[in-house]
Amino acid sequence: MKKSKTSYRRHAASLMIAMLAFGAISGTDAQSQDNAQINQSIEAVRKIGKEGKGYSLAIPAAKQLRQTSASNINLLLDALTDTNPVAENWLRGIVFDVARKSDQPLIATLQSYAMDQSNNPTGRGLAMELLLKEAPQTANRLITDCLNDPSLPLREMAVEQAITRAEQLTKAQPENAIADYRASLSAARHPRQLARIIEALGKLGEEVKTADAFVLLTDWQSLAPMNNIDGVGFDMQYTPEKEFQTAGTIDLQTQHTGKTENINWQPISGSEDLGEVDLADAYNKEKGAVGYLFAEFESDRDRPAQARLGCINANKIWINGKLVMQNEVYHSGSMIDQYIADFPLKKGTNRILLKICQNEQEESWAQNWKFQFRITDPSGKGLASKP
Amino acid sequence: MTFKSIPNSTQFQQPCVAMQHKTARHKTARHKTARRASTVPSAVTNIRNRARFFAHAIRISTACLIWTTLASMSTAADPASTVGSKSWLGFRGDGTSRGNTAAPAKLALGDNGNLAWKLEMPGRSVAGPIVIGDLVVTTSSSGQDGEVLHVSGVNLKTGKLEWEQRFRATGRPFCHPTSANAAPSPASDGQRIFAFFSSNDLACLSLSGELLWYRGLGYDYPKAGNDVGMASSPVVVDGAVIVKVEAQGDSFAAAIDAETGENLWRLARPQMSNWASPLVIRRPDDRNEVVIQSRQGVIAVDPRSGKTQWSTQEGGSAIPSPTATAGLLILPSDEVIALKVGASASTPEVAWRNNKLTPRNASVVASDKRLYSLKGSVLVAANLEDGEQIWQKRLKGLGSAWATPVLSENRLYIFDQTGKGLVVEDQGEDAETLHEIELGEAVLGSPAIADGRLVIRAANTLFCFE
Repeated sequence: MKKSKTSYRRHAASLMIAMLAFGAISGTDAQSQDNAQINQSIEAVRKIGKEGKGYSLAIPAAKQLRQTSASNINLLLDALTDTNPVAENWLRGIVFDVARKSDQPLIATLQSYAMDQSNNPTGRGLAMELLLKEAPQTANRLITDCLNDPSLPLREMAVEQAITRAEQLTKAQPENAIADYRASLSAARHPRQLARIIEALGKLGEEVKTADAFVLLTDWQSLAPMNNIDGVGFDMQYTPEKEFQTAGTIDLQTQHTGKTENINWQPISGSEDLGEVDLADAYNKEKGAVGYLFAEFESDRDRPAQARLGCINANKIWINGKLVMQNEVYHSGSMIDQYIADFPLKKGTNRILLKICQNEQEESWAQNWKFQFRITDPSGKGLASKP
Repeated sequence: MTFKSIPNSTQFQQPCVAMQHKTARHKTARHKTARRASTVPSAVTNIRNRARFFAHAIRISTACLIWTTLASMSTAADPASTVGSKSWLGFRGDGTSRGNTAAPAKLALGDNGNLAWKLEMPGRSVAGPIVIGDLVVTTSSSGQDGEVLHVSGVNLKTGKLEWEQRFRATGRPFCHPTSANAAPSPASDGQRIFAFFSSNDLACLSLSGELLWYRGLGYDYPKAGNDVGMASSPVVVDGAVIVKVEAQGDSFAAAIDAETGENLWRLARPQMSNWASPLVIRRPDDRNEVVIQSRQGVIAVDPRSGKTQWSTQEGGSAIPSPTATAGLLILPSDEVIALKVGASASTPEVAWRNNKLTPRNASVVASDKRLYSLKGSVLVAANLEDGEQIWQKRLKGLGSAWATPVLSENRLYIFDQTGKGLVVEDQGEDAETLHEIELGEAVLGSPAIADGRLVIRAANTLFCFE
């Protein structure tokens, strides 16, 4: 009997060891399979394209990713690197679903991810958004240090925090409020935040011109009016744009055939404060007209840049002979940085040609013919021409 | 076994519990049998018993898993049973602005009021809320340019936030200061939620807030957009989500497959601003058509193919939307025109027209017998049969109103841009304002009526009256 009990115990022990070993190996294999599956699903979501392309694979992949453990949330945040904006929203939705269902605390993970500058900026921003929900005090403390962070979402949060702080200090401690506003002014990249800071400083007696803060281009040569009756001028290739696309520059001495008479290039400047270039004022409120604007911009190096236009009229922009944007929209709102286009700024002289079209609408709100323009780096920081 | 009318899955957990009790009793009986007599060595017997136990446990777990899976599938697969009269599935409910349950007879705040709950929202909205069963869904937008998009699911009874999803606009988010990127009202087919925004972002969510698919129509078609804002609300019919994206630049109507998120069709539309919403009408042969209106007239298309079924140059409008009731299609234009929705595949004929009924901003509201048009602060009631005016009433104190009123029994609920709300009763030959309320926030989205409640989305707050 004793012998049976001992052999049974040995047998049971062997079985246990075998099961544990099998479990460990299976567990490792299962984890590897899980990671492989997760990465496959992530790729299916990242690969979605325009007009529903890739959705037949992405939908089941997203379903699978929603079931993933919150311990994999870093993988999902990493997936936001260099992805298209629609895929980004798919991943955002999945991250929110995973975080929502998590029964484990995520604060440490989110904090670590958000504050690691080697992580992708969008992922860091989303991690901080989640941290704001999970641990708002911790998140707000961390955001304070992000005023000059390379991640635009974090920088924007920090600027917003600084603006709020300054607003609260305005009455009791105006000097400190001004200091906060000034710090946020140099850090801000979003035009709406910049505009609010400028307005707040103005109310505190600190004049900051919009044109200066945004680094708007205000000195141009203009040529107008050419014909835009019935909107024909938008697509019409008048001589200035033909010349510019061929030669990459403009001969400012050349006379051109205008709408009703010969016209010449002449200097025009934007308003001192807002940097608005007002063609209606310069050309006697001409309607059904096209105006061309030419300027040169000096850069000290080759670099990626953005052309940013705010314009209530239909418009086209060429830089260094190439078309970078066109928008055939009249009188449907305008704001600084309304239209943005990427282009390569080259070292030396860059030449810019704008085409700003006025239509014939008679409503009182359809009489403006003006624009604001600037060149920025990809983060939105205004660049000044450096002759 | 068929699954019907399943409010929750607990009843399907019970068989698992019952089976576990049965197993325990079975185990005890077997144990007693084992003790009475055995000619097999006890070690082997023990191993056999353990093996039998684990096999049995696996069978039970599998059975429980199957039960639970089937329960959740059936709950998702039969949402209509949880919807029923507790639903307001899109802008103006079913497109008529009429509740299929009675809304509260009064609206009052304070100690003697009937405010059930209110909930602060994460951003601004001018969209109306929708209700699917016990879930209120509302959209908001926040961020520097309204580029942060929120979809919130709130419990209708308690006002508790059940879930929130958040996205970033992929199209143009700009709008007039009185508007918001969250301008179109969401829509639902009872199983899924379709949240659409002025930036032409379209999110499809499950009823528990999970993202099923996402389309960025402003990303797909970058010239689509209106920097004073877009507001046309989507409709869902025959498994298709119909959206209108009409403005200068790229201008179109499109159908997106509700299941796959892919395009079914895309139709070029006039390149001019248009905020009117599409409307689903049912023809006598039970076919659905989607009525799409612009300043240039009206077309009706098949929801799945996009093929134009008929068109007319009558009844062009870019702000108020068409309404359908009692076999008539009401088109708001320089005049209000009623078309008879008669035999299939035919262009509806004009039944009557009246230029004294033209609404200013809000769409016409209609019962089976009457229609109501809000002309600024003047409310007009007319006979549906011939369009003849019955009464008109100047609504004292009502400011600029954009939200289409809603109708319950003989009461209209009207809100203006300051948040003033009126309950106006149609008393036959005249009307009377029964109650007045000040919500203190702009209301531009049409309210929802469901399960005896009135749900109102103000700029930053969701209100529920009961």
